[in-house]
Parts: sequence; C-alpha cells; structure tokens
Amino acid sequence: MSTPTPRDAAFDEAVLAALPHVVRFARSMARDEALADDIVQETYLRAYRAWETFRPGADARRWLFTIARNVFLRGREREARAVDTSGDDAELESLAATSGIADAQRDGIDALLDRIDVAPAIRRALEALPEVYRSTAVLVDVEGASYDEAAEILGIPVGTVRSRLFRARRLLQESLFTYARDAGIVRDAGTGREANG
Amino acid sequence: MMDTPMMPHEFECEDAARQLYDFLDGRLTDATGTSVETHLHACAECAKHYHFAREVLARIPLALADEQVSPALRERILTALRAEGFSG
Repeated sequence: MSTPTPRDAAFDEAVLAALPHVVRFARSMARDEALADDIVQETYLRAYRAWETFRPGADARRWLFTIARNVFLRGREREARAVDTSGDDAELESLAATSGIADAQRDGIDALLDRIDVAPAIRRALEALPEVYRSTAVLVDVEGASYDEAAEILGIPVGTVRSRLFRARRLLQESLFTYARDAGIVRDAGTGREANG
Repeated sequence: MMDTPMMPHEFECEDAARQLYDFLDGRLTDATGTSVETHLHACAECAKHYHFAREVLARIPLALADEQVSPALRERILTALRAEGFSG
C-alpha cells in the first residue's frame, strides 16, 4: 500500500480513530444496525470531503457526531419533526424520578447493583428508549459530552438536553427495577411477592 | 432557571429531587450544591436516592464499553473512502 498523503494521514489520525465512538452514537440514533452502519459510512464520506473545513486541534468526535446527527435527521426528517417532546419538562421529570427511585428503594433494588451484572439490563434499557432520549443519554452518559456540547450536536436547547436526560435516566432506572423484579431479585411492589435472591 | 440558590432550612426532599442530576453532573452553583450536601447529610432517604442514581450513572458507560466495531464495517468505510481518493 502506498504511503498516505499528509492530508489523509491527518484524517486517519483524527477521524478514523474516533470510529468506535461514531458507531456507538449512530447506534444510539438508529436501532437498526444496518441503518446505523449506513449513517457511519455517510458520516465518514462527508467528513472526508469536508476535511479542509476541520480546524486543526478541534474536537473531531464532536464534529463527527454533528455530521452523523445531520445524516440521521436527513434520513428521517419527517419523523424527527413528529417527535412528541411535550414531556420535556425537567421539573416534572425530576419529581417522577423521585417517585420511581423511592419505589425502587422500598423494594430493595438498591442492593441489585451489588448483586448482579446489570450491564445487560442497562444495554436493553438503552435500546428500548425512544431515540431522542437514547441519543442524549449516550452523548452525555457514555461519550462524556457536556450539556452544552450535546445541545450543539443535537441542535436543541441546553434545557431540553437536561430534561431528556432526566427522562432517559428515570426510564433506565425503571427498567432496572423491572429487570430485578422479573428476575425475582426484588419484591414485587404490586403483589408483595417475596424476593428470591 | 433550575439552579436557584436556597437557604438550607428551606431545602427539603422535593428540592433535593429537583437537583438530583444537576448535582451529580456538577452543574450546581456553590450555594445550591452546599444546600444539597447539607440535606443529604440530614436525610438518609435522599442520600440513598443519590447514591443509587450515582451508581447507575457510573455503570452506563461500562455497560457499553465492550461494544466493538466489526472488521467488516471498518473495511467497508475504508473502501468507500478510497473510492473518494483516500490514500490511507
């Protein structure tokens, strides 16, 4: 294979190295793996064509996430506009979260985290989240984006990032509780069934 | 705005719930953060809430850490890039 040009070597170092992160973000937007792979490929093609616009030293991951988000939205523009965000009220979500956590603790889920590997349950719970919540949670809770960075990538206000995180995290905790209850690890609050674990 | 400083004596469980993730994400002002900390020292239930939420958040990246990029996808992207002239 020939030696890469300086341009392509720089692209390789800054952009191709971020591939695992871009794949994860694409999968957070598109449940379908084939669609996610298409988004990743299109993202990299756009990044390559626009490489001259990338500022040396800038955050390549953030740039790629923004491109990926645009690719995803273009592919489903109508659906994106139809997303119901009427529940994006952080204060309401925080109160709902309180109730959920209190229920979970009363039924013993607090011990769950120390007793079993919750990774599969977390992965399933993330997959089950609506896209707007899943992509926000993956950006902030997995990729380590700040609220401001996530807002810029997703093209939404910071307050919406905050409220979507509240809901995503609440749904995640509820899913863990359901997982524990179904596995007989914690008491079923509705029936008073005793835990097995 | 979510980050409204409050006097410690006014700070109750509902306030702690409202500040849960802002606190865990380090987004509170010193005054409100101190109010949360004071409340958590005094309220075992809220302290458990926060502990549980913190533990769940810590496990989210770990749950996705072992996701791999398939060699087939990497090759597919390289092939597409080379068709554009990429020399790597």
